[in-house]
Amino acid sequence: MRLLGEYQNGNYTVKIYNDGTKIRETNDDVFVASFPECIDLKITNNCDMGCPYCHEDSKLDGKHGDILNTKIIDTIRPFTELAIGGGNPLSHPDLILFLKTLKSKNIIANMTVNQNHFVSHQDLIRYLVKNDLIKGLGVSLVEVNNEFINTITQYPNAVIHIINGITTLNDFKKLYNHNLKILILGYKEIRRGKEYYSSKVEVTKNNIYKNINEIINGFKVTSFDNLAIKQLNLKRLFSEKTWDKFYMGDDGQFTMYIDLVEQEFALSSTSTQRFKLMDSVVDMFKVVKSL
Amino acid sequence: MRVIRRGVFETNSSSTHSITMCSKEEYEKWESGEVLLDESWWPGKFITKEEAIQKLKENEYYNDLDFTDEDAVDEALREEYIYTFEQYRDNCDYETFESTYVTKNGEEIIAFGYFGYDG
Repeated sequence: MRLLGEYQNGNYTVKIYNDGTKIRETNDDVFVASFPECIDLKITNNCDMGCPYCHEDSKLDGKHGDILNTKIIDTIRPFTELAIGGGNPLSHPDLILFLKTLKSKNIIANMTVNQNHFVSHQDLIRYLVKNDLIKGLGVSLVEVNNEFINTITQYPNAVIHIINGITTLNDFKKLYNHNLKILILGYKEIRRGKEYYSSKVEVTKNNIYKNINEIINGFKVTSFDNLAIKQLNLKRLFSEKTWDKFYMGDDGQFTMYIDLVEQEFALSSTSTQRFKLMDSVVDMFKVVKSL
Repeated sequence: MRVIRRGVFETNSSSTHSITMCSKEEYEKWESGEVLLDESWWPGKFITKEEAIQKLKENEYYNDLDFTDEDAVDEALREEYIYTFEQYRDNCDYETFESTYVTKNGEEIIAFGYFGYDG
């Protein structure tokens, strides 16, 4: 592993390596961040996929954010991670220039794209990875097929995003034993996710719930967001004591959400409480931490 | 206090927590010293000591390592996040967890790892 960078944040230090490994250290009992370690950054609401469960409600005529003239980039500390998404971030006309700016400032850009865009934009994705313009790559699963599996296994830093209640157990099984990393996200009953929600979603969620141990063993890495942890009641796998150690708390202590399309920020992308964008990330983070 | 997230960049806005699981049989092999836990690939996999040494030999950084010196090799393995059961458990710098449960089919599963991480 190669050290990408090291920095002080509040009462602790952070080291981040080229495979994504990140180490926090402090002499205190808790980590108190002064600025976000990771920002979920929405750069566009433009997307041609029309996924019926899209909680962002992204559309073909969705607007792009002004990513080249935003002041906040100058206030993001080096080696902060950005989880860039949309909409389809690949559709943003200024994407490459934006990523080059981030790279020049030693800001770590990770990006999440839809599976269909991932497959159809391989030239662009390869260019971004090869030129170190993105580090981590999230791919939102649409359909499991061999072409997708063969393609994604070429990217060591790729993580498949799977929504609890959308992907069936049979599809999970098709992904087993390919040395893949997955991130299971909770089903968000907001915007289109609210309209799409049905008993079918609930049945799929129950199947995942009942077979979670099999799923975890089918992948190189299985990880969960807070909502999925709640929906799948992962607490049942642990004793009270180990659970207390495993669970690292709620959103917003090290992360925040910024929407450059609507010029808003919030605790996370699912937060209904939104605030008008400020010039400084540190100032916005103070607001988020106080929520 | 030390918290570690291994081998994955953050691509999501919400807190992400990871779990490593293995069968009791694999875990016992590790416990008895038959295999080592290679955590250089997050969240870890079990490999033999021979495989671990081969991995060092393929790493240019260890070109000057004396592979007949067992202590030096063990130190290099630790540098590469390859651990015996005892090393993993005794490394107090890391916050670890472990839990056993039985599946509905009667299979015993061990869940263990470093603490989850909110990216």
